[in-house]
Amino acid sequence: MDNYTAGLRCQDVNAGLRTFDSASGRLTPVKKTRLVGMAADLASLVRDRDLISDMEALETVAASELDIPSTSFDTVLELLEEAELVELTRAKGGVSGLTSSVPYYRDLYEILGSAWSGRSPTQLEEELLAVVNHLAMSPIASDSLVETVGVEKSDVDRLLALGTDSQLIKAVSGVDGTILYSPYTAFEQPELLSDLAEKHGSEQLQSEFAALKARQGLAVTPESHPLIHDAIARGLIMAPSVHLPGGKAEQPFATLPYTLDKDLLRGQKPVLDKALAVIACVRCGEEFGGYSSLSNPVFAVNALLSYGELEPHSSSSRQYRLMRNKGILQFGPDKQPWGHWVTPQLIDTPDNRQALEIARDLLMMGEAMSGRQAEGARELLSSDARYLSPMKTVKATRPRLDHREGEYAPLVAAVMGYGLLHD
Amino acid sequence: MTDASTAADGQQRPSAAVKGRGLDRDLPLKLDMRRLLWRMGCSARLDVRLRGYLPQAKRSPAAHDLTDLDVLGIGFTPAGQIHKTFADCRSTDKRAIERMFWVRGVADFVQADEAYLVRATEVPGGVRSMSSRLGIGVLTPDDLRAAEKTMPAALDFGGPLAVLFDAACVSAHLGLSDGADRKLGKLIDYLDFDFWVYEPHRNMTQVVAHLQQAVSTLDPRSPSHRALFYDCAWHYALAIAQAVEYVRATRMSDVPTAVRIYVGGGELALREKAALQRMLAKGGLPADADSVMPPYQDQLIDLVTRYLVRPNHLSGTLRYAEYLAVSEAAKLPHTVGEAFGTSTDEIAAKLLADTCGFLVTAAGLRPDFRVHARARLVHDLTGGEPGTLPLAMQS
Repeated sequence: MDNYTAGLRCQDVNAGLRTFDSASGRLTPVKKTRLVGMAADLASLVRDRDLISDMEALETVAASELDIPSTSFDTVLELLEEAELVELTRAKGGVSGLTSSVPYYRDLYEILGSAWSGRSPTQLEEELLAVVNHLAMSPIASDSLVETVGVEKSDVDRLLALGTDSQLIKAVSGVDGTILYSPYTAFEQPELLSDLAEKHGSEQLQSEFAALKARQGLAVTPESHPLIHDAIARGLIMAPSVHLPGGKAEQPFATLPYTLDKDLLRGQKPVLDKALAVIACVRCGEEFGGYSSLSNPVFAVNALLSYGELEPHSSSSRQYRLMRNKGILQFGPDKQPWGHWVTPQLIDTPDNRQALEIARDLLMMGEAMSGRQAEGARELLSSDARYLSPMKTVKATRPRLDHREGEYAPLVAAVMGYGLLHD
Repeated sequence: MTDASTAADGQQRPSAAVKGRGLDRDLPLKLDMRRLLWRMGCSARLDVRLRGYLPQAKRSPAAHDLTDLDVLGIGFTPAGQIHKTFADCRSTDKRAIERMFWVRGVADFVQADEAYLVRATEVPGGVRSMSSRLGIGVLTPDDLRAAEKTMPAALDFGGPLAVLFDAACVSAHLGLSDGADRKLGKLIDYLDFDFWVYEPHRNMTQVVAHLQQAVSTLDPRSPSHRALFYDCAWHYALAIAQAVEYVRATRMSDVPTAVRIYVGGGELALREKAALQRMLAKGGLPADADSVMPPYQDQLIDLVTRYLVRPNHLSGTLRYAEYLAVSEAAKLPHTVGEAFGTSTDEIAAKLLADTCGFLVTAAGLRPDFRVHARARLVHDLTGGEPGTLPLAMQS
């Protein structure tokens, strides 16, 4: 796994595990991964803060908003310092402040992935990251983990127990076995996955979903992608449609968002719907542009974000009608007095801008980056966060991941000195 | 001030020309002008010298001293555009009228937004009548005092900042090059002369290149070397401010591309370099696509972005570098936080610390330069004890 992917997935793993009691002993085998994931969150929090001299406030916000336990805070800071993402000021035996060097353009995840690799993660951590990364691409049958992902057979049960208990891995069971999928994937009705696997086979399931992840806004036909087409028909995944040139039928453009931002999948679902509409329209322009096609769909999104409008085109009204109907665009008059085309103009609202940014992330990287930037916590850190201090003392009420007896007993034996000294 | 007409032979070695800097009798006037510029919110450099290279000369590098600028003030508009002020300071009023025309020409040459003729005694009446026509301010000691009164500053110029206006301290700073190691000659010449006549985009790489050339000589334990380092940081901060102007004017929506184009010398130059790289690669030389740009381009793009998003803090960045350079030359240890008190701009201090850190990394300087810069810039602003160096530097 390359460093970029490793850094990204460490954040995914930590995002999944952070809702559980951090003191739980079952999280010990993945502590390095969690540490790097926490570092990614904390780096995002301090990215725009040049200097921080109130470390208590930072620690409080990190604990309350990012679930970075106070006991791990210093270790996370040291990791960021080693990775040259912050510089710490030490006074009187402690850290009194920091200056942020979190890059704007160099890749944070590349740096953190390298830090993860440098810390010699355990085999279980490597396998967990591999599974999480695979699930980010496509669902997978649980009985093919060894063959497809390369997980050791002896680790499968432990891995699945940890993943499913922590809800980092979701599972649906059917006649043909269990299908695993990621909770960060925006499936409308995930229980349908096992039906699809049964009908089309688990290999087809993996290959078609991987193709979809690789090209968000995939133009789907029953012939080219039978499983995805079936999934759209059953309502498992979303696929806004756009009219093709020459009065032909509507073409669905399938999209499968992957995001850590759970609000986007629930409360902010209308924003996500708009993002999918954007993707469908610009992909249509790329593949079915009429007189001329878009050379790169991202250019159109960038133009809307930067200039607020697109150059008129003979296909503008057809191609961007869905975006107009969703309230993202309005059609202005042609710029030429004699012209009869429409000029697509952005309706400049925060929601529409966010939708365009999500669409751009999905087009460029295959997944939405929102939810990775510690957005809410950054606002909180800008305010006086000291009032939050009492929250640190509130006893954790989150579900606790307890060791299962089978694996806990040998651990106790080893700690107490009466277990086997050599395997 | 020396202009081309009075230069000895026009082809002398630059190092000979800089002898005795900071010892001239015009220095008190220059310091008065520096104080006025600081009240205006600017940073100021004294004795900026310009020269041009001679293409037909047999000796290399052969250059012709053009002229020098007694005081060059650098300020910024609220939007971050550079605002230059040039001042000609003399203790006599000899040929003042002719000098007014000369000042106008030099101001145009360096694209100064404002120009001043500063004199120690009252000037002939004709000079003042030419003032508005030529767009040149005339300042005698009475005018300077009156102007200073109209610009109250929140800063305490009587505390550690007094070093900037003290003749002995400033002479020590300006005279650093006289006793410097010969191996630092190229770096000093570059800062003294070439920085001001190179195309601005070249300075983004030339400061680093000249520092790289002096890596083995520069010693962070030496106050004079630290002063030189902070002078480099001042020049680099100005070069970045010029890059920021370019980015803002050309391609705000795509900062990395804009910075690459600027550093590469323009779109056409960048294409030419890419074509050259391909030819070199075809010829079996180790040139890949990355070799078109300097190896520190990613860090540089990040640094430019930090300046770009903080347009209101550029002036503070230059002023802190100027203070640190002069105070190091004078062997005075106060931090920026101590010197600027409650007016300290934390963001500007951080930007300068970032710039120093970048120069250390990109040029491969000894890391203690970075440690020292942090100690004087941000250590006490982030909860550290003022006046104490971090443990690493103490050892």
